[in-house]
Amino acid sequence: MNRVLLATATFLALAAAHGCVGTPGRRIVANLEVGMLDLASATRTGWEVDVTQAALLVSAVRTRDVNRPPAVAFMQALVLAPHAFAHGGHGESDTTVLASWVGSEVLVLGEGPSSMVLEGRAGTTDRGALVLGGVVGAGDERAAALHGLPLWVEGTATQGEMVVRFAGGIPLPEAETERLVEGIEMAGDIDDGVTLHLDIDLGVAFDAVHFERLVAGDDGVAPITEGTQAALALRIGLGDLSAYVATVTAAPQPAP
Amino acid sequence: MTLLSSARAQEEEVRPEAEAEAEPEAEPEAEHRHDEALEEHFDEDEAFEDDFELTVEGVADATIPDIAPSSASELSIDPGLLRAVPRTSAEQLLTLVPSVFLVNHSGSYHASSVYLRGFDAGEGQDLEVLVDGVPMNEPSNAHGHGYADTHFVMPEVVRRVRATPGPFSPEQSDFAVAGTVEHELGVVDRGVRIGISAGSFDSQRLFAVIAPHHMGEGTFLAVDLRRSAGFGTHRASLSAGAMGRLELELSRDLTLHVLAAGHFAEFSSAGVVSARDVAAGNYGCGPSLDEQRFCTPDPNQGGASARGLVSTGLTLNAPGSELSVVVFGGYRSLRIRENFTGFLVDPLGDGLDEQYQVGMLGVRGRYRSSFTVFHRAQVMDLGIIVQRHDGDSRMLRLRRTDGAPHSAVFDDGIHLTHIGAHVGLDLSFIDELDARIALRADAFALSATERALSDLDRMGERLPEFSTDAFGIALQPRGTIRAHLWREGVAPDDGDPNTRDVPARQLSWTTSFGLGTRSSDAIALSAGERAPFAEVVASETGFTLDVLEGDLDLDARVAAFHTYVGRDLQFSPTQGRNVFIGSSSRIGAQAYLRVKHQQWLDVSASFAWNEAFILAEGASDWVDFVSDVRLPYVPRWVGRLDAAVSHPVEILGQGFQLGAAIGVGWLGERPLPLGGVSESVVLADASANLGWSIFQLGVNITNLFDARWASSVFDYQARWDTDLPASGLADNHYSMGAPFSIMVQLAVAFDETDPFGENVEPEPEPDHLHVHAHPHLHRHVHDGSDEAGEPEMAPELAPHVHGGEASHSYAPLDHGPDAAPAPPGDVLAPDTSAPEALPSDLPALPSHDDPALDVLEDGPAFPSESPPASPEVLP
Repeated sequence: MNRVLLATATFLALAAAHGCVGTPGRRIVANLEVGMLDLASATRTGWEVDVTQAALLVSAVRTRDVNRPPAVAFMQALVLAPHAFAHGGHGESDTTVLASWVGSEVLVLGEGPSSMVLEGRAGTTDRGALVLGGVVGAGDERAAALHGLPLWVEGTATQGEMVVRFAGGIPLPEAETERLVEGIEMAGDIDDGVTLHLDIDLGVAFDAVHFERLVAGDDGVAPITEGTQAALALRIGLGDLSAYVATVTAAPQPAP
Repeated sequence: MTLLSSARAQEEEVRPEAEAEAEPEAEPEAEHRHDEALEEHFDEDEAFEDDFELTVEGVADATIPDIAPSSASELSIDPGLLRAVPRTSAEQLLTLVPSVFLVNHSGSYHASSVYLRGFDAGEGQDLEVLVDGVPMNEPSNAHGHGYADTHFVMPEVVRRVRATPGPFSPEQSDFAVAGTVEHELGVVDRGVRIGISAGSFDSQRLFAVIAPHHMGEGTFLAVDLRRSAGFGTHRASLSAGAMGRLELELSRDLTLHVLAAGHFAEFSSAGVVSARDVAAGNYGCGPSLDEQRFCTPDPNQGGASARGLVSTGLTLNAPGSELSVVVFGGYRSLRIRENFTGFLVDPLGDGLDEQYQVGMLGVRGRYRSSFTVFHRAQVMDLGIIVQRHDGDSRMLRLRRTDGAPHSAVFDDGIHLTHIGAHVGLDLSFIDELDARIALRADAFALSATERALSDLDRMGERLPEFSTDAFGIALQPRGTIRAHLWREGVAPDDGDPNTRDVPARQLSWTTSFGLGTRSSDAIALSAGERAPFAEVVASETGFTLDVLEGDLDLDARVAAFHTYVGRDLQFSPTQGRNVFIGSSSRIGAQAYLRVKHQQWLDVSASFAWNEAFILAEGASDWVDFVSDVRLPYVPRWVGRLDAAVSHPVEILGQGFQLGAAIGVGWLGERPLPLGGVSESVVLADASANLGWSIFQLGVNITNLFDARWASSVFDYQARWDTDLPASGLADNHYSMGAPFSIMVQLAVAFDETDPFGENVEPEPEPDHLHVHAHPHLHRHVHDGSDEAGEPEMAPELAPHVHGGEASHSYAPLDHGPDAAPAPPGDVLAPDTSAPEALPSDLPALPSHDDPALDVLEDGPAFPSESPPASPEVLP
């Protein structure tokens, strides 16, 4: 009987020692600041660009877990894992996402960064993604700056003696995958209270625009509309990863 | 047990062992059985020595021992008085099993998910479910592999719930990962019972159970019609079912039963709601928190099910052996529409239409034979199961706007064959120890033809289908060793001839070990793949205490267990399928207590502690008990208390039967991903019943304190707002549990042969005559694992055993503290089960002036087919 009691006590002690163990991971709430800059002024097409007004609609920011499985392993898991097709409910989410913000935010040049809440789990990130466009939130007064499009820009492009005043915007595809800017460098530890700063340098987006191809209107302003080279170049330019600069700032230490 | 069985039981028990051994095959004349019983009794009484001649015959010792329990936590539960605790379906009777808690994420007739011993066993994925010996798990069901639905079974026709945790018993087959549960069918309270109930949420039920008095408990007809608007939004339901079972003793040793059942149901489902959307008030059902929680994100959810089931079985009891064969077949149709993820997978909508139309045919057989080694009886145990499933299983994706299918996830024809067999030995060489060793083998041939492929691939045009076949065999050794630490006294007889003597008080220590398996989902397999089983290694040790003392019947047990599962699966909504999570481990302990006092008090309490872990990557050894990673969704604590009282009272000269019952379930915190936990839940149900004459009035209340609770809880990624991108993060989702509800039930219950109690005839009922000459009385051999479902003698009337000798007293066999009691309000007619009713059955002690003896001397018929005494006809 003593052996029974000893075995029972061992069993209970072993189990009790692990009683406080939880599921892996920890939820966090962090800060997200997204702003718009106009840092780059010279394009590869030889133009000096001065953006005077700009507005951009964004709808999601995601940070990726540095420990995400390699793409090959991930695809192997997809292919080799059995298709049991049990009903939904259990299971993890997309394990590559560390933290994210989802919503609708109109960024306006010159108004400073917008502040949002980043939710997810604690971990280290090395890169992330931004979803452009989306649906403007109801009652958002800044929506007027978009002129009904997800991106609106106004400014002046100069090349020697040639000066082009431009204004216009571009539509974005409906499919989220075609509005996704994936692979933005975001190095840092994501935890409660940290702040992720993401700056978008619109000047980079003009890098391939041939302003000389724009045709000025009666008011002397060349409209950027869908179908123009400028619109296409802008759309491509928005996917240029060098237009996005992200930093992670640690949470402020509480006062002693 | 049928009447014939009862009669034979008496006959066998009055026979001295010596003579039985000398003439094991003697067949006593039925007409003389009653006389023989009395003669033997009087033979021990010198006062009557000259009046009777003792002639005793029978085959008592030719029977083989009952099947011993495979583990300390194995239970065969007679709901008894606890039937009065509100339970709307047969599956809810499972809450009488320790560590079981039921949750449901879909509609009224969607099978509940079962939490059991550290498993979230789903709707059958990790739990083998049987009804009357027929396997209910549906392999490769589009809704979930192993889905097991028992809604076609009315709770009133469940005679007993048998729970066999772990893969310890050699009979446990596919899906017995956490264990096996079986609903044994029968109606204890004979007669006709017709009832109607109505209550909250515009719910109505009409039911009838016809259980002829002159036939055994295994014979009945039942019909059940229900409809309800359901609580909250989009939860209406409708169902109709009928079931008939006939049990016949074709001869003394051969019993036949036939079961036929049909059922259909249609139900709407609210599905799950997002905690984030509830908090934000995003649902369109109203601004209040309750309106949000009971709303639905997709009204195109629900289901429909239909079932036809037939089974027939033969049991042959030959001297020293027993053979039972059950043949079953049926057709099953199930359609469930659900949407867990909104628009995450497809912008048109992620709704799923899961369809399963499959015919099933199978046979189960078991042969047990006793043999002698070292002058002690040993038992050889052989069994087989063969099942075949043929049909279609498919999953379509639905357009959110109108519910139309817009694509096929899969569309498979499935052809599944399962052959299983076991061989075992029940060994006992000393009184204090017995053991079982067994080897089980399960073989699966899985074939699926996918018909929803593209008709064009890189090589060119092709037919849009592809067939796969996979095979596999799993060998599973199992064993149990049991030490009897303390045994004292002899329990009264249960009337079953196939049982041995059981001590009235005993303490046993049982240790079990076994390997089990779960077949693979045929739809998941690749061509030519060796079917990858989920490997299960389980062990358990525990103590059982069984005491039958006077009016008190106590069953207590405590056990600790460990279960290792290799290649465990967990569902990933984003990948649309189960994915391997590696190996997992469960450890825990549970305690159970059942106390019954006479026939008016019945209390059952259980408490279970479970810890479930995902083992570290690379860990594949079953001795890795714990890890630093907890398995989500599995509750750490589960508790349950059921209590019922029922007592006759007299008011204004009228006899009434009053009853009350309460059931309290506690579901502890469930771990969620990312270190979260769900709130613990305490739910209380209560009922009150009043019976008068043939009328019964009852009030059933569920969720007495109107607790708001999350039934199923999930944490996964979804996208409910098409205007926003997916977050990529898991959000908490849950399905709301039912709120407070009240149902009022009015029923009439009567003896169909004498509805108004007018045919009172002072006819002696030999079936109630029990004369104990043998000091060894009988009870189920399950060492207390058997709750008293079979009629037993009232303990105060049982023979007083002193030094192995029985004193001279009579006892009614059919009623006692262990006997399945009548439901509250059912004792409108005289209750012969009560001790005071006994003199109407037989005199306490015989005498020469005893009129009962006159009747006997006149040679009353004692045919084995004699019906048991109905309470109404007793003087």
